[in-house]
Amino acid sequence: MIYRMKFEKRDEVKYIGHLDTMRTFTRCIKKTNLPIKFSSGFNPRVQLAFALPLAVGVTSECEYFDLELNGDVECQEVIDELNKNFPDGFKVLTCEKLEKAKGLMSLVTEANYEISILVSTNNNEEIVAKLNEAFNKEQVLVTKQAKNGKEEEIDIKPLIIDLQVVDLNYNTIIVKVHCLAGSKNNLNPNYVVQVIKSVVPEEELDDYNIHRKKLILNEQ
Amino acid sequence: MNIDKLLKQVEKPIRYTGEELNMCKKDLKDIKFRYCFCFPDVYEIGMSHLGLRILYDLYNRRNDTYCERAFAPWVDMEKLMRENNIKLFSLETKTNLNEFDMIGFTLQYEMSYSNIINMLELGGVPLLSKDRGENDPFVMAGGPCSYNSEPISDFFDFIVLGEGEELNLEVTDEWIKWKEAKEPRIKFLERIANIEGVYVPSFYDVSYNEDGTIKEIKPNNKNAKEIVTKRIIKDLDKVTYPEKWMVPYLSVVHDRPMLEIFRGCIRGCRFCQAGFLYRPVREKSVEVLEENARNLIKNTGYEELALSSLSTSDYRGFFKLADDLICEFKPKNVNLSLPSLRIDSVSLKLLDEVNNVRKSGLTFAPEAGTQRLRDVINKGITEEDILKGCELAFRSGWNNVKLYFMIGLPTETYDDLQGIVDLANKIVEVYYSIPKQERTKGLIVTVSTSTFVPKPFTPFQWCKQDDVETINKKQEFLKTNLTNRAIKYNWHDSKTSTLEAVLAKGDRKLNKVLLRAHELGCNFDAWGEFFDYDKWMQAFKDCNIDPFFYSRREIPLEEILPWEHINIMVSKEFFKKEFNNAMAEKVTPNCRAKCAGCGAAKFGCGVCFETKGVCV
Ligand code: SF4
Ligand code: SF4
Repeated sequence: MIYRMKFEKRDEVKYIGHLDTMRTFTRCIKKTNLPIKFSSGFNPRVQLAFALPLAVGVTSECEYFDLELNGDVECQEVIDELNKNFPDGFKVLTCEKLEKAKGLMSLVTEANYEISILVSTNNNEEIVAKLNEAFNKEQVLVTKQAKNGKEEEIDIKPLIIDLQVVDLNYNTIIVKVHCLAGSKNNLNPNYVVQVIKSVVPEEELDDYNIHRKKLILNEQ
Repeated sequence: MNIDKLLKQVEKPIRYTGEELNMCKKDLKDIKFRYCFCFPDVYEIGMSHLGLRILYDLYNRRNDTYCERAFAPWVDMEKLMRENNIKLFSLETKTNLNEFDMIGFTLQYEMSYSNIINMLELGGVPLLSKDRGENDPFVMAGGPCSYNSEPISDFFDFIVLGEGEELNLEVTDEWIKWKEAKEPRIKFLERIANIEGVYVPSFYDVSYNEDGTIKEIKPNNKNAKEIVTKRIIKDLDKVTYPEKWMVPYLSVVHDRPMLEIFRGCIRGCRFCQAGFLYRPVREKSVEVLEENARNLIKNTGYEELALSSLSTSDYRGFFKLADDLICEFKPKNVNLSLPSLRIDSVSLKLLDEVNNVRKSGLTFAPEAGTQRLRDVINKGITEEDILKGCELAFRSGWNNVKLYFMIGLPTETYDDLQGIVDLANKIVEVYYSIPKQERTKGLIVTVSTSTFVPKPFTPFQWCKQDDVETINKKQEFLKTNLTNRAIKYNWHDSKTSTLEAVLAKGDRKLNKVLLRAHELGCNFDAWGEFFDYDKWMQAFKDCNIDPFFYSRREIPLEEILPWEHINIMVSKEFFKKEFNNAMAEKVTPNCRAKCAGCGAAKFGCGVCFETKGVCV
């Protein structure tokens, strides 16, 4: 039986990269009392599939992985066992049984991110205006570091479905992005940060945080 | 200023974030004593160090104590910290070093000394012990280099000598009593100076002769002992083991839990400091080890477990332990890693069983190229052993052999270097003498040479080290003569070893050189890309000190050594005897074959009492 888990990745573990996260999950799952199904072959592995990898430094409340177990276990028991063994910062939120599962990765179509910006000016309004202007342009150009080390310019506008700039006062501005995601067309939220950095002067940008709010899976 | 902003800009932020599986979390309001274990190198190296694991676990088993960790920040992080006025902080609670009650460094290698000073500075702790006040933490050190901590003694309030399982807890108890008694700072040091194994450098005066040699080392405080003796744990089965092993997110150097099977080494190779420092050999029982192993795997979910000791094959219960562990863990897909194994047919069979896929390199450490020189250094391995081992290995599918040698050993001549070349060539011949279908293609014989560094507490402590030019010539000789295409030659930078010898054998006069080197920007000297020999030489010059007084001088056997007041329970008489045996090319049997009367039997435990009855 396949179990689809939704989990969160909080602040204290946000710098752990995708591969390191997978390795840790594998170890933690082996610590549980769950009837784990190992792959056959020379080097048996825990059968674990993730959805869209999260960029380093990004927190999330909607990560997914599929885990294969032998036999039928109550969902709540799976959640409890995993949470008992996971390090702080990771927490399984929900669990769902599936008879068959298509590759999780291929199901991802869209995502929602919230990028909160901490500014050191009381001029929120001006920044909000500048951000709106930047994102409302015909093209939103960012530089991409290509594999060969060269830089190229790309337009992220076609990847953005919707974008809102919300002024929360108290020096905080939130950019909410609804965008394409998945293995075909995917917006890396760090590009949005790049745009923000080009608009907000360096000395006024105190810090920022990227949070993945929602992953939309195309289930059929 | 928050740390998060810096973390976004550095190469590996998880070096600084902690939160690993099994990291210890505590409520600070229950804590009386806050300690920070400082490892003077980057996270990946520090987390591979068994001592850190043991002490972290030891302290944190106490309800009144919280032990946290700090590592040397990598250069990118250090730069940002300095620019933004961020102090060096612990991984657990992100507390600055200067806010702890005590911080402890491990002195693993001399080339990390500059990192220690840098970490103190980054942590906001006054560098010199004499400048620390009532609100500063106590700064301590332990580890192998602390047996001669004189070159760096001004930076520490006290040093602990030997194994920490009892000693460090006694110091903690005393700190809590001292704190409750509200006594001045000095009183704490006086209290602990009475504990065996604690060395308070400021409680000793060192006077010098006109030629720079030491005249006298004398306590100046009535609480200080004339001679400080190291501490050991007599029965390793009775002390705790870090079964709640932390699992780093980052791939560290040794990314697997270690199972320490015994301490010490029976062999007594004359250049090897570890072989003498950790005497006598004390083994753990197979039952306790199996229990440890079970819990380590249960608590971590690791896919590999490594046995750890100076010489795995010397563990008397080795085959039983290995068989049991394989039986238990193979079905659970946990591999067993068996480092420093002597290669013979039995061990090869075992390796075959545990290494179900990889046939990575086999390692031999003859250390010297001729039997004569191997007798001088008391390395009990013969050419026949090596060639036999290689042949067996080649026949069972290995094709990659690594050989470790030292150059610049006492009494070495070019004949001995030629011996290295001959031995490597003979191994190649052995390989080609095996019929093609019975060996794996693509032989690689890697010859690595390090430079001999005379170390305190060895029979070679009086010996001098070759100068850089001589070493370079010897390396050149090997480069030109190791010509076979199957042979690869690696060598260590001779300048690093030069400084290592000076810092290993130096006295208190070197403290000011270390400070000067720090001012000149020396840091991460153990990393080739940062080591700046010229800066160090500049520091010696600025302080008007000749470094080679310490390392390139034959020291007369009767001279007072900088570490004369430290006792590792291996007698100076024994080292003298061993020195003379070396010069006479006479070997000394290992502890199990015949006790050599080194003095360690006074501890009343371990190999000295195994079956030979009482030692002298
Ligand atoms: S075998 Fe020799 S070199 Fe190795 S640890 Fe023992 S004494 Fe040292
Ligand atoms: S006293 Fe004898 S058996 Fe014990 S450590 Fe020394 S040489 Fe070895």
